[in-house]
Amino acid sequence: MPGPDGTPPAPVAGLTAVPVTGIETAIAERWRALAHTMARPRAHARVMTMLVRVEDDAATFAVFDTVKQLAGKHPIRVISVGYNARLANGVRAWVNAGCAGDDPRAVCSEEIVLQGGQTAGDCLLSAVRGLLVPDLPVLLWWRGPDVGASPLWSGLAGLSDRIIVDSSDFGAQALQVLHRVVGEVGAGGRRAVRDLNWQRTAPWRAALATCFDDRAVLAMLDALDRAVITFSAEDASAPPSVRAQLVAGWLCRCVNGLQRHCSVVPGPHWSRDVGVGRVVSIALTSSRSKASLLLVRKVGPTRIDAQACEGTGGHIVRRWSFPAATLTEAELLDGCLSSLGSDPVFEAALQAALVLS
Amino acid sequence: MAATTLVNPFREGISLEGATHPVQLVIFGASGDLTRRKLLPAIYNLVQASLAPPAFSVLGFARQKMTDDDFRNLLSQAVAESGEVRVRDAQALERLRERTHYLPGDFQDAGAFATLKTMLDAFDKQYGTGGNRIFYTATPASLYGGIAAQLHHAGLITPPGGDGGFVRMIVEKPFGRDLASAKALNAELLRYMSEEQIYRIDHYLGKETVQNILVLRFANGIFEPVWNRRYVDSVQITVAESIGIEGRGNFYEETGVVRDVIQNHALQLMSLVAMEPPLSFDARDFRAEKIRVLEAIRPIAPDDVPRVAVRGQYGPGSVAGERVCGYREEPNVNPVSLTPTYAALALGIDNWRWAGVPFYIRSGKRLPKRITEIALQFKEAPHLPFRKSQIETPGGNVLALQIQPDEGISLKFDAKVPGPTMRIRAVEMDFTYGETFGSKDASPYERLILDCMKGDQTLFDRADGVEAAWAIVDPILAVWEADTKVAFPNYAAGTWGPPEADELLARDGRSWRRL
Ligand SMILES: NC(=O)c1ccc[n+]([C@@H]2O[C@H](COP(=O)([O-])OP(=O)(O)OC[C@H]3O[C@@H](n4cnc5c(N)ncnc54)[C@H](OP(=O)(O)O)[C@@H]3O)[C@@H](O)[C@H]2O)c1
Repeated sequence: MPGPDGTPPAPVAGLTAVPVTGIETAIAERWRALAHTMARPRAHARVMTMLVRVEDDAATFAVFDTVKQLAGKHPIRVISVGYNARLANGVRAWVNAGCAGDDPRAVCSEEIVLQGGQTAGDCLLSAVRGLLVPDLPVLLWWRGPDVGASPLWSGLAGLSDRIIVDSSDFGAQALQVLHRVVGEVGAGGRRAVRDLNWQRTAPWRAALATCFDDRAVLAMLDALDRAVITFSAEDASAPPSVRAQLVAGWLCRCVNGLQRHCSVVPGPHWSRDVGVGRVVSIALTSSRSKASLLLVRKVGPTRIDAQACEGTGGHIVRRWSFPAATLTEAELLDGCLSSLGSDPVFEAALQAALVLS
Repeated sequence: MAATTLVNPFREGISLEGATHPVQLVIFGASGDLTRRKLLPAIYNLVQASLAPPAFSVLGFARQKMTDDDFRNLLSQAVAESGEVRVRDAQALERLRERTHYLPGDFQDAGAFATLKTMLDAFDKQYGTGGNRIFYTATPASLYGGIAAQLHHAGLITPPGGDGGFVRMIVEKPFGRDLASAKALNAELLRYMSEEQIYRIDHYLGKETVQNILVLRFANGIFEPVWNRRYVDSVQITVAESIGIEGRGNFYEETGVVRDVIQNHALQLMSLVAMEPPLSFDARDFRAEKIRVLEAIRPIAPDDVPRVAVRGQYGPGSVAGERVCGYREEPNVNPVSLTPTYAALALGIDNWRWAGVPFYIRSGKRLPKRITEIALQFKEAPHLPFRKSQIETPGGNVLALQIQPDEGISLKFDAKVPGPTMRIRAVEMDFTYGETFGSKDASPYERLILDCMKGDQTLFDRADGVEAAWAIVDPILAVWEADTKVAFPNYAAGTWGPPEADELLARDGRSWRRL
């Protein structure tokens, strides 16, 4: 229900509408009220401000669900920012603050929602600027494909130390868009870009690294000069998935000489069990011997099974099974929150993927 | 031709949180209390979090007759009962159960070790563990040396750096019962393996907050400049337990508080607070500094013991609202026992940083609450311009690092009470890890077993470190054990120890912190 002054209804339950100028006061009051219900008074720890660009109203629920999970693990101030077509002008704000978990491990976070009409970009930015937690890192989670194009982009990116995007939203030119964003944002070295789509390849990369931790398998590496990365696709003519391309780029960057024989191929029969675009297998083979390393996604339970074969007879010398449960958006973001600075391996993999494509 | 070291090119940028090398973990004393309460839940956590390597197996070894399935059931039960398990994951438990085995046998029986070798060789093939082994001694301490000898005779200890895979041995505390026995045990172990294969565990060092002492000191610019004799008046280390001996009378009669807590946990804490900054947090640099400060602790001459050390034993009393018996009334305790359940020491460090700053250490059973903390008492401000003001609790600032139960840091300082007059009151600013980082810490055993899998000895004791710690307490133990004219019990359960402990500080014009 709209509020008495025509304020739109709270985007999700539990938020209280407040004027923008009253946000800090409202949060402070909320803490004071909560203090009476807590076993003992506490000093609030905060580790960062997280800005979330919400692409549209429909996304609000999904965003809040993810943010709730994060806020339960990290004491953060989350400010979500988006346009609302129903608002003519100006900025509306809602706040909430609360703790998750039991004392003394309760994690206390603050949520602020800012919405503005289509022309309120500057007002939204000015509101955000006044709400950043002093001195602590600012992280921007940019949702949606219009990275670079939205008037909010440069303003929010300019306030942030780390920017998280999801290249699986970027469509046909995903690698190029990603490359542009990394170039723009990373220039000057103060800010870093993280890609949730790259983060999703972490189980594959960890599995492959572990296979090569075995000295016998590492000794075969010189012979392995061909790579095929298969991704789940709707049909055999599907364009390469950006996730598989990033894995291909990473492989080529790790192994000299692989570029010429590294391919990303669709695996249509996989799409029954596995979401389209996901990596389903990595095969490293040799043109000179029977040496190979094959990693394949399996379901029930979700895992990556791997086997290495020696070069002479092609006999299996090692087998592994790596648990690889699908990571939720909150877990992916959590990974981005926990790692600091830029990710040179990702940036090099992206460069190599562009060359391959 | 120079040998080339192969480097795994896929590792760069990939978290090395987990162990990567395949390994078999053999637990000696697999039917015991430590295995059930601590080790099996820790191993499960490592598997559940994918921190254990994919090629991994566990073999339990003890006298009790059990089949593989019995031991697997013990594992499931241990996981079900443990409060340290973070995520209950049936699939992970099943993965571990499938790779868990048991061998019944006596540690004195060479035949059992031959069987052990046959089994381990077979599991290497089955699980691809490549001959890498970790042996964990969760047995009575008197058996550690014998186990190493049996392993050696069975051909189960290969030198490091060879082709046969790595062999490491985690040795539980207590490491000896005095300096002489610790030296003898070191010599015995070193007869069969090298120092880099021996992991002497003190689970206190695996606690997140203990490690955080180093981060607080050496990652922040503001603390280190005042962390010395110019600003610090004294340091108090308290390791207090509210529980008694929990039915372990036989064990405690042999041990007492000095061997159980002071020689290891309390001195570990002291060395972390007092050490010089290490060049790096790797095993060589870190342990070298830790040992250096232990060696700088002023030796206690036998004549000085009454002046710098106080012992106590609890009598009946009440703790947390419940009546409890005295130590001498506990099961399996000598009714005229002279075993101390409380000790307080005043130690000094002879170096430039700490000369003249007393380090007061106290530890005891059946104290009013369970708390482990280190408190740095800072000197008072040189001049107080508020002479006419009301000062509620005069005294300098205190920086307290709380290790358990609620890990955190607090700073006590004076603030003006709001109002028209100048009234000053001490306030405490509190920082709690749980509220900031939320997630449940890894248990110390989990962290330390993982470190051993990775071959990282940083948080384990070196031979000379253990000996340096024994050298500090040895004279105290010798004097106390020779002097049987002590009036025990001398403190009631539920109080902060004997009055002599208060006098120890009162003599210096100080008092224990009220916790
Ligand atoms: N429990 C703790 O919380 C804790 C904490 C820190 C350090 N520790 C140290 O860890 C060690 C183990 O403690 P614990 O409490 O687990 O002791 P425990 O319950 O008495 O267990 C001892 C284990 O050793 C086995 N054992 C003893 N003699 C043996 C022999 N001759 N041959 C084969 N197996 C033998 C026992 O097997 P059978 O019963 O089958 O004979 C049992 O599995 C001790 O040194 C203790 O000081 C314990």
